[in-house]
Amino acid sequence: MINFNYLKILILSTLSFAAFGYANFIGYSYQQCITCHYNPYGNGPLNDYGRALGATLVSSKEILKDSLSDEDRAEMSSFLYGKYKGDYFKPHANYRGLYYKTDIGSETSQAEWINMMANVGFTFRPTKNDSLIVVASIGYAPEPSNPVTGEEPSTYRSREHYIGWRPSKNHGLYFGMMDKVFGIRIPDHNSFSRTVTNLTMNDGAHAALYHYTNKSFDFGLQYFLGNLQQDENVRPSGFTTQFEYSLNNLNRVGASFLSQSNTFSSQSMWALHWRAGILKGSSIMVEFGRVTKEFEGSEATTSEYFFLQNHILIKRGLFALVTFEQFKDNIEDTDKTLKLGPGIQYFPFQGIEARFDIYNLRSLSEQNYSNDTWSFAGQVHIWL
Amino acid sequence: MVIRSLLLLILFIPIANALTLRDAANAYKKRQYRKSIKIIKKISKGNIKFYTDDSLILMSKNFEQLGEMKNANMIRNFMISRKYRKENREVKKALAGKIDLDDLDELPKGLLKVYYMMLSSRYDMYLKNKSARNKKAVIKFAELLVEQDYKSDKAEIILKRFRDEEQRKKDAIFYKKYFMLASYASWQDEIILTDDASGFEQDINSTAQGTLLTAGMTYGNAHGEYRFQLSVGFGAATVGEDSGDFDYFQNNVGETLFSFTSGYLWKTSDNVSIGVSAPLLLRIGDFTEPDGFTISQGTIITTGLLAHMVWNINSYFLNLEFGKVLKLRSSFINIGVGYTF
Repeated sequence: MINFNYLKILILSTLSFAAFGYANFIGYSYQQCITCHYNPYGNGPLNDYGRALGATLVSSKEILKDSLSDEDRAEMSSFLYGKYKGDYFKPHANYRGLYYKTDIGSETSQAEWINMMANVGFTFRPTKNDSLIVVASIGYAPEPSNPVTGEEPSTYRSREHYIGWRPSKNHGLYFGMMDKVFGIRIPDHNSFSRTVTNLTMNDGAHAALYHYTNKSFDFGLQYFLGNLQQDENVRPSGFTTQFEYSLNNLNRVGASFLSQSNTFSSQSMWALHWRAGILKGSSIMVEFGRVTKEFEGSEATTSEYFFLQNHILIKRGLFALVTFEQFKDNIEDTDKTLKLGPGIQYFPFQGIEARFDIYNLRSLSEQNYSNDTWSFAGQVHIWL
Repeated sequence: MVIRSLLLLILFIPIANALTLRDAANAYKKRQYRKSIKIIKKISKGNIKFYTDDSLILMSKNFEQLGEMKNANMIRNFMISRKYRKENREVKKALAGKIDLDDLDELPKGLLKVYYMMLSSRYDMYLKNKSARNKKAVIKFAELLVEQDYKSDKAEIILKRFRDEEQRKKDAIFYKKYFMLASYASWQDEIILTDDASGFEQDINSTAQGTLLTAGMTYGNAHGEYRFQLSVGFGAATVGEDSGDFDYFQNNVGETLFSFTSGYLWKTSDNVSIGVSAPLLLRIGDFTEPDGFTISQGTIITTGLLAHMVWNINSYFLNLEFGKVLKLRSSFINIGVGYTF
């Protein structure tokens, strides 16, 4: 039963959904995050175009079907369903709540409602073409079940605060607290591609990011000091880089590399990723990566993960999705963990998302047998 | 005196005609088509050369309503040849494909008006008899009017209806396709170990994974497809039970799977399908029987129900099946990449 407990801990300790970079929108031929987000790697507040797109292309129009045209919906997709005024100051607010039930069918089953985040923030745009932006978000965050050593657990934190300067459309420089650039930035922060790599919502860092983009590719190079709120000894600093290339308007391949260390440990990792749009909103996303971690006084171990997520657009606003993941804690062992997660994602109206996932976790080992575990996650996400 | 008489003729004859034509129009409105024709004939004393364009148009409409299409078309052709012989010659060339439609000069409104009538008439005829000849003529006239931007919105609607009709026909056609698939599969076995002496039974579980090789066929149209597939698989299982009564453990237990799966998948778009499939599965497991014990369900024939999804990218596809198979624990997962011939 060793693995059973391990899996249980794994789920509970890494459970966190946040961020809202929807990389799967390549299914609509949107390849680059900067089209919809102020941050060139997604996440964080949406720009006006992204909000309008969310209100029209992505969200269902069943609610107020007869009284609101798509033009109306786009027009009222600004803060608090307001109209666009060409503001210099763009406020935003986000809430994400999660109902999570673990070990379904077992006596140890637990269920709870977690307020994952309740953020408010703003984007300051002194220039109309967004060549200069200031982004900041602060809000409630649940105390992590695996707090980072040396960090005072706090239920309020700054998710991000950075200044972005794009001297031209192609080049951008960003300074401040932001997420690290690595892999496909998906909203499922409980996936192995986010947890094993230490890239969950609480792993942002004070960093300097250079971003280059053109029609064919994106390149990013980021140097980070770590989260300056953390104790210096445990704060991982290092650099990361990512390259993504468009094979055509529906296929994008990329590679990422990250290296970081603190006083006690070092970590290096790489990933290869591919996003494919299958048109009309459906998509496939694949990421394969290896993470090598070395702690002081012990040998380095390399983990391996494989992430596959497919979206099927059933009708406007409604997706069926399946996440399939494989994780090897140590590539020298044959033991591995499989995770299969069928789910439903529904955007009933602009600024509202509901998502339901069932996760089947299976351990494959030559040393022991363990039963599968099943869990359920139901989320509500509101962004205004 | 001569000038005065001519003026009177010019001023009063059209008024008299217009008044009578109004009567003809009223008769048409009352669906008295024969009467309407009679009135028009009376105006011009039966000589078609003296008919005004308006009276000819009305007359052709009357004939059309009476189902006398030959007469209706004859009148329209007369109108064209009377005034637009040269332009019509060019249009005929374009409709025959000898020159491009966009090479035509801007045509007179009067001519386009007649073409529009011919389009409407032919379209009505097509709706009644679905004749391919009428359809061809309608498409040509509609394309001409779109190109000339005369009542192009109405012509576009007709063209769109034809396009939709073609698409519906195309979408409804069933066709066969064959495919090969290599996939990774994982499942959990549930076997029963019986103590021969006491008859005590204990469930023993395993987790298995392996490779499935599949050949199959799809039969479907643009809306959905039936999917039939034959698979053979080879896997290895870790079997264990750590209850107080038994201590049974085996790893790398060879397992062989044979399955025939049939299913139906709806197409959410040209390249994505979602549905259900039911496998008929034979699983043979090489489980070791300890002395004094018997293993049952080492070999099983079973069935189940799987969610089935397919994403096509050109000739390649990603295949994902998962769900419940009876006599197996937990879920059956099958994910692979295939090629469609």
